[in-house]
Amino acid sequence: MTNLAPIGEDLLEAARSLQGETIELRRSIHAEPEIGLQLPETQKKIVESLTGLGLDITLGQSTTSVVADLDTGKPGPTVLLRGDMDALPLQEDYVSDFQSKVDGAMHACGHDSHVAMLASAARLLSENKDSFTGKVRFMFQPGEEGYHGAKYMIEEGVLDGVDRAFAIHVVTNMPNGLLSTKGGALLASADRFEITVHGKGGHASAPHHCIDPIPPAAAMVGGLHNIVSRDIDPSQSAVLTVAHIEAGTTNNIIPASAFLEGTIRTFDEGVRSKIKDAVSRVAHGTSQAHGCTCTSEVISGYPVTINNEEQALLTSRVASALVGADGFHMAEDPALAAEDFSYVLNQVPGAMAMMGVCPDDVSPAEAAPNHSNFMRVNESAFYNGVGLYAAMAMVG
Amino acid sequence: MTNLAPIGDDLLEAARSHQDATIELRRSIHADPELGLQLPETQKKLLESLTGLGLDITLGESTTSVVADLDTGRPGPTVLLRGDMDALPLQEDHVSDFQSRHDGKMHACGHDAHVAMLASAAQLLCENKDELTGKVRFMFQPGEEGFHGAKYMIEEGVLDGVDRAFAIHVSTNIRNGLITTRGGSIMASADRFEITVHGRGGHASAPQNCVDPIPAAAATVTALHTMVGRNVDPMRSGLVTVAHIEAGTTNNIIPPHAFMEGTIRTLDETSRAALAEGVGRVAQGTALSHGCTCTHEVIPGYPVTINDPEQATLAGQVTSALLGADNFVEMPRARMGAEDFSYVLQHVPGAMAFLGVCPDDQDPTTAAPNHSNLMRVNESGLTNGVALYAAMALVG
Repeated sequence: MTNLAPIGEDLLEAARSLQGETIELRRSIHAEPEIGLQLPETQKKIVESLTGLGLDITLGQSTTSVVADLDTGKPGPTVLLRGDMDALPLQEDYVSDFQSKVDGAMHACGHDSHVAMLASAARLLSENKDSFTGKVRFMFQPGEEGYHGAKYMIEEGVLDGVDRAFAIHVVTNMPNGLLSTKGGALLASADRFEITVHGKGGHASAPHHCIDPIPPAAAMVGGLHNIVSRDIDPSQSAVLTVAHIEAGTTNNIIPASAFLEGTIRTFDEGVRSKIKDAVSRVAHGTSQAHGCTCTSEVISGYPVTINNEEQALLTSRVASALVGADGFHMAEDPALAAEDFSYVLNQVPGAMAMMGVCPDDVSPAEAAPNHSNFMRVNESAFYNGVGLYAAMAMVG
Repeated sequence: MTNLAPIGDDLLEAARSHQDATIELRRSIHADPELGLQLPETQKKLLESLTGLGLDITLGESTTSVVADLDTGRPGPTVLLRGDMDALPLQEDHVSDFQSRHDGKMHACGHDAHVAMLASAAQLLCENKDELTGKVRFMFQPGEEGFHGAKYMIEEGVLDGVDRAFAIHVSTNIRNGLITTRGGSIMASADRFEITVHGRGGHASAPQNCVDPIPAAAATVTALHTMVGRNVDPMRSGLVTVAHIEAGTTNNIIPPHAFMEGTIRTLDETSRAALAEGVGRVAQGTALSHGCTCTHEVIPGYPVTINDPEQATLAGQVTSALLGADNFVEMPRARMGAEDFSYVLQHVPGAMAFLGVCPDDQDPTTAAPNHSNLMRVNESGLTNGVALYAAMALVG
């Protein structure tokens, strides 16, 4: 039962009053980025900021996750709010007081902001426990950047008893403070494939004594690119890119093998599995035609991130009530990036929203994108995120 | 005027009497291999072995070559005999008392044997100067392995006044002691090509924002192989091998460039020119059809090695007289390897012959080939080479 009554200027103002500590936590985490599933320093900072709020805190076993439960004591749904915690293996090249102190690690995807906004939302909701019902579960998750962190937390029970789930992701290429989402596919699946063609090497002047793996590898590039145009419903979207090909060392030796790898992105699990099968078919068929053998593997990445239609709609209404209709945008097209919140959305109805954090001195189109070594976050928008996190719990 | 009279058992016996010296010099050079155009140690050893023979010795200026002239004082032709001196950049893995003492350098193409045989032939001819007319020029040449050593020596005048030329190359894949040659093309031209396809890189999930060079490179591989079958006279031989292809670094980034390199081999200069032109045409046209640009280069290597038919016949007659008909066989077809004696044969009539040096415990078809890290020379076959060098000078 949607109750938009608590959502409005007062809630936004309450979020704004936490702006100082949101920024402080974000900068502290930004300066000490950690990568992967084990993020002890980040976990410590989260636990410190949640201390004294009366939350029931559970630390992860296989990872340094933090699950914090807020129980209003009144009957109602359990809403999960997620913030991911991990940084990227990247050298930060933007100079600031809180520039990364760790060589080769950087919060270039805004997860520092996600943690800080979610911690402030936890504080805000704890302080306003009386004005809503049910339970809120705060899911602080390591290893979103390719480490399948959500999967570990699901295995440890983070979704037990959860009725719906919500997450925010900041984006520098959107106007500062703008909130956005869409129903259905929001982000792509991203699978990796690797193919090794096995022939027989030898002298480049004696091809008849060899089984040259380079011609089949070349033919495969053509064949693989035909999959999307010939095997897939033209009304569906998919990308297959052979991004890396490598064989041989010099001009006069036929190598024994050739290597290809690339990425497959789709917005539909049916399309995804069809392309997986076709990659293997093309790899093996082409190899056979050239007298070679091959090994091919499709390494599953994150599934398609699919927002529940109703939850996306709810997000749009809550966001509009919170920041005004001008501050929300219903997106038309999904983006080809991938996200492991998809694992959560495969199990409970929910939605992910995007929030613009474009710096004031650049346009969204020109801003250094997420994953850039110069990525910058406009912190002034944080209270919109804090307010939206809290609001999505308060609407029950 | 062919005079086979001095050729026979006596000559072979004389060569055999030099066998210890031949083996000693060969092993000494084998243990101290040198690469390229500057081979001071090899030159020193060679000069020591030629000392006291009454030869007129000229050292190279641009390389460490040695030209030694034997003048009988009687009118007659000048016959050039060549032995190449340089080793290969290879680690020797066969253990022996004379295993290479230098890491990453090995006489794996038998040039140590060539130098030793030619030095013994010089000794033998000097001792039998009375049976000779005209002059003999011993050409000890650095830099055969891709360094165009013969070209430098020709520029310094090694062919001035030369009437005909002869060279021996040992091969482990031929029965020990067997001599073989043929008229016309005996070894291939070997040119190298490099192609770089230029596109525009970007994210592998956004191919529409990129110009992907990999499909263009893949199509180029296929088109290059088709071009050989369509542009070379079916009665002639031509070979294009793309031996090395490299583009990209990982699965999710479309690279800006794709690199290919390979070898072009032919047995006649017409086909060689057609393939060099065809490689450029295919590279440029294929790149264009994919919206890419490309840069390509054909780097000329050695020309086709073409034996003068009369000189090849002479070599066969001389061998049969010297070693018996059982020890000569006409080569049915050319080898696709390359040799810079081709430069010499472009200027003066001459021939190159192969001498089998297959070890006694191996089979010619499976013996570690020339250029192998395990290549071994059957030194007992070297007598035949010493005698053949000498005989080719004695026939005047």
